[in-house]
Amino acid sequence: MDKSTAKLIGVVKTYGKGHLAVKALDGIDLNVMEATMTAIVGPSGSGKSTLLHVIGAMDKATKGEVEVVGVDLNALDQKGLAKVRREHIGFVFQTFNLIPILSALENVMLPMEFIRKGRRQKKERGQHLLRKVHLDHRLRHKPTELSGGEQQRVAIARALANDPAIVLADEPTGNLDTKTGRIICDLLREIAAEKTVIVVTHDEHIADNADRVIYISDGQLHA
Amino acid sequence: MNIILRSIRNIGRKKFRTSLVLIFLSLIIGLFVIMVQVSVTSSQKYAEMETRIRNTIELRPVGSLSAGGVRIRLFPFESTMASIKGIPHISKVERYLIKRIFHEEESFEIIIGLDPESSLRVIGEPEPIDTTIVAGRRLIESDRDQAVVVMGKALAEKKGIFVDDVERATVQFNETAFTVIGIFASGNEFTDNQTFVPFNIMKKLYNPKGVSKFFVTVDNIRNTKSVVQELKTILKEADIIANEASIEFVKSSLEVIGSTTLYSSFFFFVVGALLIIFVMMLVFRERQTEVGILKALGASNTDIAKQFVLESIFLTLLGGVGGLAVSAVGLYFFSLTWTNISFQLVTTPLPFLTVIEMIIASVVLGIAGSVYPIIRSWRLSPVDTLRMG
Repeated sequence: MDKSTAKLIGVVKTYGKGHLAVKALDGIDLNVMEATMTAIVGPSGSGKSTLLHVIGAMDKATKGEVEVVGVDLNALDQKGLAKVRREHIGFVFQTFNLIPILSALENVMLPMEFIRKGRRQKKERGQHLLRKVHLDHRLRHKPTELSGGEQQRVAIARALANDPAIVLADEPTGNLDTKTGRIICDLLREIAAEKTVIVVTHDEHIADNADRVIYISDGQLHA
Repeated sequence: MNIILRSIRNIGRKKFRTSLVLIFLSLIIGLFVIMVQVSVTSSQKYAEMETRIRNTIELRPVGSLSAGGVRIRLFPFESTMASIKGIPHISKVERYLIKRIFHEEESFEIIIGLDPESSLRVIGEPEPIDTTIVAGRRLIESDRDQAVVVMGKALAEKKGIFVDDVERATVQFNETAFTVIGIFASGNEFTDNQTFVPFNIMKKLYNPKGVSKFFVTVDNIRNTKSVVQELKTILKEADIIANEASIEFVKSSLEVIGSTTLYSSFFFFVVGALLIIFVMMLVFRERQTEVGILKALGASNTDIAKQFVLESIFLTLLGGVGGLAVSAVGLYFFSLTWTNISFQLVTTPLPFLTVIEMIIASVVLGIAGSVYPIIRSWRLSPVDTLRMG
């Protein structure tokens, strides 16, 4: 039976107060199933990234219920949200956001440091993940020595470091050429065989390859 | 890579800026260490001087000052000693018998009787200091009832006794033969015409009516005043000579050095703290996005705080190592400059205490520097920082 990984009911996210208040999310109901790839599309400023941040325990909803891997995020304080991010969520950013002083392997090992994994375990898993994204020949390279596509693959490997239930990707192909974008898309598709992948994107190719496409505008979902 | 290595590597991100900061930190920490070192040493020296130097009081029978305590009046043997010993804070009482022997050619020599182990204080020196033995030895306990002398160099030479004759040569006093066991030199021909003999022997030989003078040692400079007061009350028939002006001079000099260096060390510490705080503010501003990324990856506030603390401490420790080099050079020049005065406030090479001071100062500065980034990163929302990036 299909199992829900992320469930949102009547979620509202408002920025600012009084007459300056802006509703980024306006009554979102969403149920994302385990081991699927969901693409969230919509125009700029429609609330795509905000939705991703709320699901990813980076931001709290103003109103409504958010349940991720069975945890009620609204009930958690900042420490609790950090724990959810550390153990259950993997992030992939548009600008890769790798740490420049660390090598590819060290970047992948970084999230494992926060769950106090042993050095050997970290190294072995890091090497395994970089092999999985076909970068086992680039372990010692710094981000500046890698191409955009390679950096994004390192970022994907890093997102998988703590074996999260959900991988969230915010415009993962936004800074890449079409060919490299396809490679990243294929990689995400591959990950979705085991994990829940939610991708915010403008890339039609990703949307075409997703199990489900959600359209969002003015903070509201459209089927 | 663990957090320690990451923190060390973070320091090298902006190489030029880090180098500049390290140079300034080295100078500041170096000066701080020098000031603390001088301040601490001057306090130690003062404490040491309090117990050791210029804490003697000379007692002479009233009116005998111009005669060098040689005659006119004498202190009764037993009662004076008992009275002095009853005063608190007196650590040592030394009694001296003094006899002038006149010769036909209008010259005279002085014989001083004293207890073994007492300081060999000659008559006529402005400062009642111990003399230097140039051959043989001093009077020791086993000499208490022996006919032995320690003789001034000038007098010994007049009598045809030289350094090599010590322990063999004898001299006559009051028809008694005394073995010369030591020769002293005070650097003054007059005082080198004097001779020290054991108190008991001198008493037997010349049968004096009392003690010529006493030297009283006070346990601590601070108690000198009160002891002088007590002595004045008890010994009405005595001139009491305490070198209070010298004591005050040494005390005030060391106090000025101590307080100046203490305030200076505080100043340098504050400057160092401001510098590292400013640098870490810059570091935080440059790396706000990175803090957001770390938070998004699940780093707790403690993880991020640890990184900033370690980074700041490593930076200040590196500055501290440079500071040690600066302070080693500085203290060396200090020691060269100050060898002309009677006390040396610094030592080279650097004492272990200085290294400990440097480590403590660096760690405290490092912690001070990390406060701002820690507070700011705790308040930082990962979403906001990622948006900024």
